[in-house]
Amino acid sequence: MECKHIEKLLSPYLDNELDPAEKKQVEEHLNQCPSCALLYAALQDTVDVLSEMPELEISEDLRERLYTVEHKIEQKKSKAAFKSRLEFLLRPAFQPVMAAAAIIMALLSAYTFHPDRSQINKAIERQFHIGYSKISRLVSKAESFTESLKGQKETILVSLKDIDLFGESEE
Amino acid sequence: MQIERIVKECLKGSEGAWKMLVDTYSKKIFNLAYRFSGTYEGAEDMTQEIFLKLHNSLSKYDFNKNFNAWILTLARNYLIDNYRKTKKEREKRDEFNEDIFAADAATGPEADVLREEKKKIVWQGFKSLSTDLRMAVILRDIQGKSYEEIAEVTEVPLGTVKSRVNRGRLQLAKILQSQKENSHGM
Repeated sequence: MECKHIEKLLSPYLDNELDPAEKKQVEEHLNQCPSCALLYAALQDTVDVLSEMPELEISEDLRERLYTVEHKIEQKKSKAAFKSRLEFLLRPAFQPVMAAAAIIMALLSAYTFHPDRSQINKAIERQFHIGYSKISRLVSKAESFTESLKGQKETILVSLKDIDLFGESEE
Repeated sequence: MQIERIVKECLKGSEGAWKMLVDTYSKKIFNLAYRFSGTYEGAEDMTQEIFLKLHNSLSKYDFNKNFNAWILTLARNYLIDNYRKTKKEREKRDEFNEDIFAADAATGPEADVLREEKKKIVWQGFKSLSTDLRMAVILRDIQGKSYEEIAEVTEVPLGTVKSRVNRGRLQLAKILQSQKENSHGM
């Protein structure tokens, strides 16, 4: 218990920052306790070694870099400006457009680099023709239906007039 | 030229004043970064980043405040932020390598082998200190700052600074002691 307490006082003791009573307490303990005395010796060594660590000179290269730090800032600014001009591409609202563009690009590249492109062309052409003939058949059907409706126009009108909508015939 | 005048000239865009500012503070900032990060090249890059920051925030400097403390606070904040940001990246490699230490050893030819060995252990021990303890010990025991100056730089109460220095020193002392015991035991 006492060792723990003394341990906390060792560094202030080294700095001569303790009041006389605490100083005496530390000194008496160090005389009696070899492990704390060893720790104090290590602490003294540590502080000595740290104070001996020299201040290093900076390299000429670093000095030049620091002198011209302004240019770095300008470079950074122009990079940032370029980045902010392109930033709209990263907005969430733009994501569906980007996704669509990516799909189109993927399809286009698959088409362009496909080893058997002529087969794809033929398939597309075939599908196109099938589609076209389906549409033209539909159009001709619609035309004949319209014609038949025209022919029966009179009959339809007459039968509509005969329909008893309000129950008047009973009176 | 007084530092306040140099700063004012820098703010007017004087290249000469900027060079004077670099000459006055680069060595101090570089050494702080070097002792804190443990890598020479890393410290050079960090010093450059700190000066970039300084250049950008010079206009915010309050002339009623101590410029030395202000610039050191800026450097300290950058170093600790950067250290935390790059934590994962650093875990992959071992820092505080021997090469850096060799540069130190070369400057003290009279120092004996034992002393160099102790220096090496303490230097390596820095790795295990938390950023706050490490910064406090560097400022106090390597850069020789007073507790009051450190309190100003680190923006914490005097009592906290003293406690950090004490704990940092004790941690290093225990590392040194255990290494010594290990080498005697072998």
